[in-house]
Amino acid sequence: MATYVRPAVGRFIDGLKYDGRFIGGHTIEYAAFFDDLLTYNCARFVVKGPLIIYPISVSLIGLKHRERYLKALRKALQRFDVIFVRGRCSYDIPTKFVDPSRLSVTLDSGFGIRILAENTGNFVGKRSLVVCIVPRSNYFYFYNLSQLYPRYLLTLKHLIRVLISEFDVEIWLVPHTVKSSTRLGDEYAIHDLLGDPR
Amino acid sequence: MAPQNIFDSARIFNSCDMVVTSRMHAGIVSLAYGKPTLFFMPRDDVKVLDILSYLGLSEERYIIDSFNPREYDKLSVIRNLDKTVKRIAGEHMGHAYAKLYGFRAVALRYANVVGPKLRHGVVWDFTNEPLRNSTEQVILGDGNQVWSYIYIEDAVEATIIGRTETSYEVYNTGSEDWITVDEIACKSKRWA
Repeated sequence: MATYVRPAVGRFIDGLKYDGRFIGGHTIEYAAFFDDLLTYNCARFVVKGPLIIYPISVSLIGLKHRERYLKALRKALQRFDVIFVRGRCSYDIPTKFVDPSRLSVTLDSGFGIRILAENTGNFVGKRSLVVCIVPRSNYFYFYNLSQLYPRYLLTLKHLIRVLISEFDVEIWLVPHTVKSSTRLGDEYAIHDLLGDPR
Repeated sequence: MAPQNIFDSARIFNSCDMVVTSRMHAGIVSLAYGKPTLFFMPRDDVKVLDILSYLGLSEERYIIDSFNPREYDKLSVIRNLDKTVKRIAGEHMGHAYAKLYGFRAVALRYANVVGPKLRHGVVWDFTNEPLRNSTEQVILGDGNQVWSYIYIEDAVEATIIGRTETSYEVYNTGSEDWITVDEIACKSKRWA
């Protein structure tokens, strides 16, 4: 049955068979706030065992924008057995919502990449000093700061000029999001940076 | 180049010498590979503070707050970013060079250096302006700007002490106290 309907719904009808659930690292922020709430609440319905979240950050800016829904967030977070947060500052915020004994601080999963891929290898043909630049656009659109986006691009362009002229480096523009068809992907930020409207 | 997954990103960061990132996660991955990383982020991001805290770095030393978009006009955003980003980028490039070519590097962040041969700046203007024009003294801004100063001999001493045994280090080279422009103006009146 679970094969033919959405797994979560299937499991729910099938009798709450999940023994535990692990929700991966993310930030509780403005844009994905309601998606996160939905995920947390649904998770509790389909899991009879421990529910663990690892590791999260809490964006102060995001919470300010979603101040009206803090009660809902508190309820959702209280459903978890263990909450890992990324650091001391993220730890302080959820202590207002949940029992501190359920909270714990851990290292960001980004550091774990090195354990999984120690020898990633280098790109062949790299001759000079290389600076990798990861731009973004979504922040400016999420928080209604799109009027500042051109200034951000302008400054980044200026930084690139300075790096090239004063340090003689090679610049790599690298997106850090998977291919996205919306304006919020990093690839669009790169095209904006290069002055190539899409 | 477009990475298809997180391992591609890791490979790219591992291949480069320095990363400038507006995405926190990208910065963390690059830090994991030991690359000098310049976070070019909007302010108030708790994640930045988290990363600093578990890397054991102080907020005062590593956060240059010049990108508070709500408080700056267009020109000042660019001017402030231009100055600070250039400076930080320079420091990180020093780190990258030191690592790549195996030499030691130290970045010294000087406060406003003052001393006998000073020929520009607020202190120079206030102590010399009254001699040329005794009727008025011009203060740029509201006079409440706070600056830290260091005497030239102390700056030289700090530069000599700053030579480090580790591969890369950053030092704030200034005094612990600070003074407002208004206070300098009052004191310079007394000196004049």
